[in-house]
Amino acid sequence: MNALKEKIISQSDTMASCILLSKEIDKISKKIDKKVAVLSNFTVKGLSECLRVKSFINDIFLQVYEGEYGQWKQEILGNRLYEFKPDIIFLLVDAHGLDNNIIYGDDGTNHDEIEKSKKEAKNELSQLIDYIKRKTNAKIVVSNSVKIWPPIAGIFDSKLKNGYYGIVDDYNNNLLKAYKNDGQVFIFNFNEWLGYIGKKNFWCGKYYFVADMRLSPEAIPLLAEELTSYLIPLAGKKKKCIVLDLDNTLWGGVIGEDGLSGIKLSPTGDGQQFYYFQKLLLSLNKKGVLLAINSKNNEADVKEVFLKHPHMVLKENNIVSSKINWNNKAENIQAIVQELNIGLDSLLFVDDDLSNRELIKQTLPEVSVLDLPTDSTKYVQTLLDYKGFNTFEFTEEDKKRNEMYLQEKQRNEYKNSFIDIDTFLRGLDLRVSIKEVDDFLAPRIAQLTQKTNQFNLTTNRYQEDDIENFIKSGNILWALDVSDKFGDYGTTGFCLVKDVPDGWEVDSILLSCRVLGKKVEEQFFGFILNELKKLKPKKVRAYYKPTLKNNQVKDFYKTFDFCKVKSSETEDIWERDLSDYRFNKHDFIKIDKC
Amino acid sequence: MLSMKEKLYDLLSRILEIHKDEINDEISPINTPTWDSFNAIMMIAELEKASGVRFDMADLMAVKNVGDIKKILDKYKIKYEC
Repeated sequence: MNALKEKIISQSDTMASCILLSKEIDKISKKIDKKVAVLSNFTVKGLSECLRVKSFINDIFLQVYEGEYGQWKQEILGNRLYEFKPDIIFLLVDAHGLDNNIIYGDDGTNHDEIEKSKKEAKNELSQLIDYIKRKTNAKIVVSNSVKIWPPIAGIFDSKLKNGYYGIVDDYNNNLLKAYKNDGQVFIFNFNEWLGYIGKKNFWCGKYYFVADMRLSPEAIPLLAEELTSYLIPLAGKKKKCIVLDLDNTLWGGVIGEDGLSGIKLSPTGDGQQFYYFQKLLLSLNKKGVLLAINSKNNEADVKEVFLKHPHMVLKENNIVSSKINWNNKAENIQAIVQELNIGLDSLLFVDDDLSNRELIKQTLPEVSVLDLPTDSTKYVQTLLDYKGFNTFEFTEEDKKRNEMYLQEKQRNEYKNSFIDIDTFLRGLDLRVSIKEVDDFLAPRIAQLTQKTNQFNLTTNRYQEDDIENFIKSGNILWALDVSDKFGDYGTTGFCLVKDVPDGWEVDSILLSCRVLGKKVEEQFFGFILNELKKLKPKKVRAYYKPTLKNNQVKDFYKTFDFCKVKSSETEDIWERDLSDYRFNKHDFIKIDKC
Repeated sequence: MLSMKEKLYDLLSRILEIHKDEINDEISPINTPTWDSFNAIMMIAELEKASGVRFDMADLMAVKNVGDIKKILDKYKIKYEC
């Protein structure tokens, strides 16, 4: 699989090679992670294969439905599209294809006609989008319309009441406005993207006249690559953390040799490219991307740069983990993922040194590696072009992420200064608050059931409406909030108990890995058992369903004196009678019951 | 470095799904069912990439078989045999 990935990375630049590579993917796997539908009012034949190939680079296996040529409206209004059950629909619609009046614009005599065309193009598209919304919950990505250069009216276009650019801008702005607050519909700025790759070469050239291909076939692999921006968050393959080299990556030169005043980093002149690269990293950090350092250097030299260099954009508090030593960089990456408790597959490694990049590619293939160009002036664009940080939403969690990881770092430093764990925990001022789940909490709870792998006894995944239904049908749902003297972890635990004729049944219990190792899990479940006893002192049945990641909790119920009554490959069943249960509350944890 | 002839035969073989040894000047849409309009477009795109030449519409219209492709490469002074 990695061999094919390498091959795809080096060869997937033309449509013909994508079509062949797509067949090779079929040979190695029949897996389907996501289903994609493509509808367009211009020819994009070959985009399906290109999408599959470009997604494969990101470990996403696609099935693609390509609408019939010239029939995008019929597809929307028919059944086949919905029978396919797409997870996402790309609607590539160019306004020129909707109405010819748009391109020719105002010639002084056709004002009314243009007004009518504008309205019709807008209404037709929004009616079709609304129709799709009624039929499916799939994400809908709608392209805006291309503006070609130059306008037919030339320099006078800006003076016309209905100039060409005015018409297309209105159309594009209306589209943007109509779906600004709609989480299902995303507007793809096709116009800007096409400008970036080159309208002169790729739009309405020879292929349009030879084969009715407005978009040149050479641009189709590039379009597929761009559209992975939507597929990565859709398939949950978003990256969480950038692991950064320092010398010749964050600044020009080598700090150990050139010294504080010798390295290149400045908002003007030489070193500008590094300054703006750091600005971009800072802005990603503010959007919830974690930053870590992996550098061969003396730690004291680096500290000096962070503290004293007048133009350092990144500060120590933007960095959640630092490995500055002479170890090999793969070992350091292992240490970083352990420290942050995240997966290797959620990292992007950024290093100017080719041999370091090769080392990581060979030894840690799960880690994504950014191929920085030799020319440092291209760093910013290279990182901007990277698609792995795209997201459909920007949550409160994202905003607070950096701060939360920094608090964790302080906690660890604090922990290392203690010999025994209870003394450490006592000093943390742990506070847990346990409350019943209401509809307001349902989205966060659903997210927890989707994301939690390690401390999760049954790994039952639920959607928001599942949680709401559990609440409605009278089950017992508890949520756990944890805080300590370093900060607030937010809602990080969940337990679902069902009322059954002979007692209780624990359907789910899980805790986010952020709060593990503090004995709060014992308090949370102990508290719940105590509450259940008060309601009905009968038998509790609980399950452990093994997965690749939840081995650490296989004996969780033993701690509470449960007996294993049945054990098989797929599940262990544990039982305990509540009549003799006594809750051992830790004196160092305060419980608030809301 | 591959010669232009090797590049041409390689791309024809990949796109038309026929063995390189079977390719000759007479290969055309008439005797080769895989030479459809879509594959023709891909052949142009691949050939432009391999040769660095942008063909104009008249060139494309003049192609009836593999022999004609070689004539066009000749026209742009691209040697297909080194």
